[in-house]
Amino acid sequence: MKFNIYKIFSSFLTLIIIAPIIALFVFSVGGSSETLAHLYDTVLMDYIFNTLKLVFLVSILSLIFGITSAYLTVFYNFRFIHIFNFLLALPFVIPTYIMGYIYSDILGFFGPVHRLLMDLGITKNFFDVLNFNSIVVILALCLYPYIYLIVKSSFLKSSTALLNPALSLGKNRFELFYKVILPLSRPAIIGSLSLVIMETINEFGAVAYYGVDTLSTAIYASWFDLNDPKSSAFLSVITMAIIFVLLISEKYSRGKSSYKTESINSEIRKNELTGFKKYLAYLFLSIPVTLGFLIPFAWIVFYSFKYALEVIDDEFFEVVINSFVASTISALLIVTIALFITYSTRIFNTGYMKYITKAAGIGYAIPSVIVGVGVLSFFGTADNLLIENFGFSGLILSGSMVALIFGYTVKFLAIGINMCESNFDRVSININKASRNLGMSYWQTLLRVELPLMRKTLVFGFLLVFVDIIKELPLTLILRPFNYETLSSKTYEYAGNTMIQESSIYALCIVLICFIPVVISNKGKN
Amino acid sequence: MLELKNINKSFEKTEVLKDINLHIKKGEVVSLLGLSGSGKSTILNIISGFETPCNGEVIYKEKTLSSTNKFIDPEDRNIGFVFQNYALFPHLNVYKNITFGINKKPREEKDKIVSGLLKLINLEGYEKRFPHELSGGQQQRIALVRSMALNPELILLDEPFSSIDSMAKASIQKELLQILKGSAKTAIIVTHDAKEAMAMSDRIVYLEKGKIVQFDTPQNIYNKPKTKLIAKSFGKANFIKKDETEYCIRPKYCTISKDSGEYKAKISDITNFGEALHITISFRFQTEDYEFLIIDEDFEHTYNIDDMIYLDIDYKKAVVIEKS
Repeated sequence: MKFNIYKIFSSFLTLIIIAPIIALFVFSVGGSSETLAHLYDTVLMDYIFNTLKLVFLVSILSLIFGITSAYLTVFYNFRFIHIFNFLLALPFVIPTYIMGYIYSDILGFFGPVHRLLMDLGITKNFFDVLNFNSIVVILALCLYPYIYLIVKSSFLKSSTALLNPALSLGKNRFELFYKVILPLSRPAIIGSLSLVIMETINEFGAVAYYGVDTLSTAIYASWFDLNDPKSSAFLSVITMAIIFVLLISEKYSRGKSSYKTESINSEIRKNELTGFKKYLAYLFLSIPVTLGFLIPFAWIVFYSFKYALEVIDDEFFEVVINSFVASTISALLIVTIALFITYSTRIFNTGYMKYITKAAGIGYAIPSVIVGVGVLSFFGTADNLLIENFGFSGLILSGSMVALIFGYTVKFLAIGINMCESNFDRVSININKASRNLGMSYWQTLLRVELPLMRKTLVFGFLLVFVDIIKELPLTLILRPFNYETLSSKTYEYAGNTMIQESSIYALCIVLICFIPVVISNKGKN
Repeated sequence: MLELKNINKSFEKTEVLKDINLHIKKGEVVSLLGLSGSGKSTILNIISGFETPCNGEVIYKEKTLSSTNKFIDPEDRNIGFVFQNYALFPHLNVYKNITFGINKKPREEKDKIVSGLLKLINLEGYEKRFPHELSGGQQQRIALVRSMALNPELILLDEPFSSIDSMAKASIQKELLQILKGSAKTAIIVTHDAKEAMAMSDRIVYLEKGKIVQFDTPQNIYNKPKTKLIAKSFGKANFIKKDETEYCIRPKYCTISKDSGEYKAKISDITNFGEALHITISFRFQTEDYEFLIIDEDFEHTYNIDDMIYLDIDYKKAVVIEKS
């Protein structure tokens, strides 16, 4: 049997990637029963209830925003539809925690809305926004684009071969929508909804700021505020169990139904919206666009200019450079590892290798806070071993950039893997075989044939990962070395010190970077 | 030249090849024919090294390529392979595609090889074109000469005509055969089209469920098919059981008349195909009912559905079908 470097090395990499998750399980098992009993008696059920309630309400609101917007823009025609088509996806560029800080400023006691009301003689503070309901609206505004974009793409693929017979069978537009279009788009709806649910469970910055106790905030608080890593690990395992149950039920809910339709051969006939209905559509679509993008973006730009001279100093440039360095190194590492693992499974797709990519991408389904404490548990143990056995001093792994970059890699490797897999799917395996048949090794084939064919999309994949890392908050807060600030941590720090407006320039940097994939996607479509 | 000895191959629990034994001579063009899933492409993959056999040996030019304790990687075998849909590298032009495997040779030598190969396929001057700028037939020819650039003695072709429309197929088949024969290459062609196999090959291997059921010349396979499936693959065939022996009779050896004959039959269907009438007749013989196809190219008689007629079979031309 030949020594297979691809299988061995990709298995080793996967094992390293999932090690923090395994470490958490091991750690949680070692938790004292007293702590666990105390957690159960006091706050555990509240955390779980709050998390599930948040997930439920955010899901409902995101579904309303997402599906209705997709339906209106796909099946109807009205003036300015192209503008709405573009703007409806843009709330994506504003991270949830930034959106949260902005609205706490706008609607807070010292905010412009309250000041205006005071000027009008209304002194009662109507807008106590730091509460549960506000966070539901804020998360829905940030996350509905997942549903809007995925469901819209599914609506566009709705076969006219099915829609036209339904119309000819006497169904009106509304019946057509809920009897044909919605059932056919069920996989897209469920798929995008699970992304919203995962992001909601993942959410840390905004919920912590608004004082809502969820499992994510509890995991963070247990470790860092209460100094109780065992409880933190235990809560992490419970959260992962909830996510696992949700993912499994999503898989089984699909059953054996087939949702495949013939590919479209003609464009969907759009109905013209006129009169009252048109204005109703404008009103509805304006809500997510205005609240989710226009107002927060205008706020960021306005205060960025206002505070630019005060905030832009040496430290600002240091923070920008820090963010770019950490994100670039991590994104390069992620794309390289993803490329190696997916290439290994492409050429040796038998036995356990079939499951390697799924295992390596597991971090994406796990909230960042959990990945963070998992990395700390794993590296903490490794540091102890290094200190005890090799005489090292200090936290070599858990206190350095290694932990931060590794954490990003665990969390975002799935994006790189998905990108590489879809790229490889587009290149016939016969291309690989042809190259090998002409005398090239696997490695030479990758470099000379497959990489040049995937170059552009790999760069796009790199950018996607880069952007996700730039805006990542909880992992950065947990794993950054002492005094190492990035754009996201600095925004969080300013907001925590009630200097939200001063944080705007950092937020603007993040938002402008988040525009990159949106702009490239639009350019690609054109 | 090439020998496969007792090759077996399974994918997980599915047995794909069972005891494959083949001996192919130098300069021969051999077709692997069979239904989908019969194991044709797996044989090519085992010969080229893209699959490892579970057991058995692959011997090429008296050198063992695969056995239980030896395996030579595909890149070291120097066996040409023309893939289904050709697998030309889309980002490289014709020149770079052809020289891909001989990249380290000096420029002058590469130029000489490319111009010689392009001349062979009448595509001189196409060096700078990219695959998407070529027709299906041109792509196929480029794929063929690319596989010949390393000057292998054996070339494997996996469904080489699957992407070519039926109108152009015959001439391209002829051209390909001329190139292969002209350059004295040994070739193994995978196909599921019996006509293609007949037109291209010196010998045909017929596979059924991973087993070789017949390995013979095209004429012998047509005239003496060993199984019903082979008989049906190569043309219209009628089958009749007589005293426990099953016979295959081609329609041209069956005649019908209104007056007299061995079997009394009834016409159940008539279809006019322009060049011939296809007459389906039904009759009972011994304890079984039969349906025979008669091809009438003369249009001399007028038959109608439900007419009673007589059938004669020329048993001297009948072939005994092996019991499965």
